[in-house]
Amino acid sequence: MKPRMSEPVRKRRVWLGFIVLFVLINPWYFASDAGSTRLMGIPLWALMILGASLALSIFITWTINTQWRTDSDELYGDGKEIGGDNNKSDGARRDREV
Amino acid sequence: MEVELAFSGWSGIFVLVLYGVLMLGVGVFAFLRNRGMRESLDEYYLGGRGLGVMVLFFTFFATQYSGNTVIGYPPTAYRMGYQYLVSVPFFIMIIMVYLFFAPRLYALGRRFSLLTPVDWIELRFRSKSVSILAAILMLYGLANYLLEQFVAIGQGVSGLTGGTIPYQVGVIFFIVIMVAYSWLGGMRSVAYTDTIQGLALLFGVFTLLIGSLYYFGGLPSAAEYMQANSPEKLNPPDGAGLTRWFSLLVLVGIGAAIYPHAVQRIFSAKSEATLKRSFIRMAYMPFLTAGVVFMVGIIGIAAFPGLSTADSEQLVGMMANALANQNAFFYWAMVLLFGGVIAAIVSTADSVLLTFSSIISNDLYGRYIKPDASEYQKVLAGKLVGLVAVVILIVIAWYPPATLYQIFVLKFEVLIQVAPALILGLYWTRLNARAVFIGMLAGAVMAGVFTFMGYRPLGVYSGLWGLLLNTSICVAGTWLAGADATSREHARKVIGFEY
Repeated sequence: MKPRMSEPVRKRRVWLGFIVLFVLINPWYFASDAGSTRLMGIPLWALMILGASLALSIFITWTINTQWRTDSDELYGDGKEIGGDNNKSDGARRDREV
Repeated sequence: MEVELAFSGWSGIFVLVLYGVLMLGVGVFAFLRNRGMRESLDEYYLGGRGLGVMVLFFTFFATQYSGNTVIGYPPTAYRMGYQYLVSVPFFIMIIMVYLFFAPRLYALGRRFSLLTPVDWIELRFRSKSVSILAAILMLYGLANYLLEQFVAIGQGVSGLTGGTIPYQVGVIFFIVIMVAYSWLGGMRSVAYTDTIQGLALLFGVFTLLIGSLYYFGGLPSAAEYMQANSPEKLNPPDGAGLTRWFSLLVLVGIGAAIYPHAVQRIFSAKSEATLKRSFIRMAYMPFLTAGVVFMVGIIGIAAFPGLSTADSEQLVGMMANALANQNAFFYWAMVLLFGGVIAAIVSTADSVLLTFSSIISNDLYGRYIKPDASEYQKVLAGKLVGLVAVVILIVIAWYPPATLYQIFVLKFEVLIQVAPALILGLYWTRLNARAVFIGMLAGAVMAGVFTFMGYRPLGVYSGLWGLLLNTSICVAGTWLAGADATSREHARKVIGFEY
């Protein structure tokens, strides 16, 4: 049986979000003398880049929380038993010879 | 990153020795706590696949942010001004790139007990030539990476102690400690020490920022100074600057995410939930680290104006000297900061060494030289070859040879060439192993030649040109002749989780 999987790479909305945010973290859309407009000594364009970067971090958080789910934790628990149970991993290693 | 600290001498030595003893203690602790477990590849190289959120997060953190982030980034910000703000988003890019392959790679890693990135490549392509080439590129890149860290340790120690401890003694002292605790506890030691090292580094950079803001003036005065003297440092990049920004985002994002020691950390997560939580935390760290050291560099522009390129490299040292002269708190905070910097270099080096040994143990010795060896023997082989490599690298680091130096520079450029095999292989069943091999080889050669010649067309880094050629060959080669039916069936089963 094929496991249920949800992967960010297969989601159109994830790609779209990443492309838009990648475009926004490149400072191509400012006037060349944009440095003269400042807020608390920081150029406004730099604050906007930081804002876009923060938006990227938030989008990453959303992606991880909602778009990424595999069956690993169901199959292997939280990993506690793996440390001592070498038979399990040896078994998997043998499977690879298939 | 040679920084001389006039203020620190014996107190620097005190902190370094204390730090060394602490790291050894962690190694002994990890050893005693897990003495009952038989030594296996999983235990030694992945901490039994049992790293929890905090430890996993800090080991990712300490692997990504090295001493260079603290010592090297402020001078660059000093010289480039706000055009170097790219150092914040490029660290976020690393996590974004992870999301394109880590979810599947973790699931496969669990299912097939994958130990190293080469392990995955071997499982996917079942091709000796692809696996061995990938292993060689990784070992070569990792060895150069290690060499760079060794030189940085020596310079850091001699700088911190005002030359009281010579460069060579510093290198030997920390390498002996590093090898000792790595041997004692493997990945567990490395990850626990990474946690201590990460905390020391965070404490150091925040104290440096607070001190700089308090004693050297804030960002408004730096901005006024730039407006009057070098307005280009306030303006957004254009033309070549914009290309540089773009290629740094791509190169660092892809490069750092597929570093073999970074990939190996994915396999050591205790669970998928743990891995996810660590990644989420990592997505915000750039603001707290790269952002903070960037601000320190900007403050330096007004505080220490008019430094030449060579002098500006000493910027963090100058600021630390000035702060240490203020009062006892900042004196000790700066000593701890530089202890933290050296800690960060050691923590990058230990991760690299562990991954280097694991590729030897598992992918060369365990797969081709002596497949019937016990896991204990495989671990031992990796440890011993790792030790031999360390000794050779110490000999080179002792007096870095000037003329051969270019050979030791290549790391990022060659490591990144493994990306198509690693990532495309996760999703594309038609991908032809032969095209992957030729692409990887051609990309590495091109990146190497461009680097040696100092050739950087359109201002784009040589590693990216190599990667572009490499990926084109993989894609075009596969379109011309896809993998045969048996290979495709095998690939379909592996990446479809059907075994």
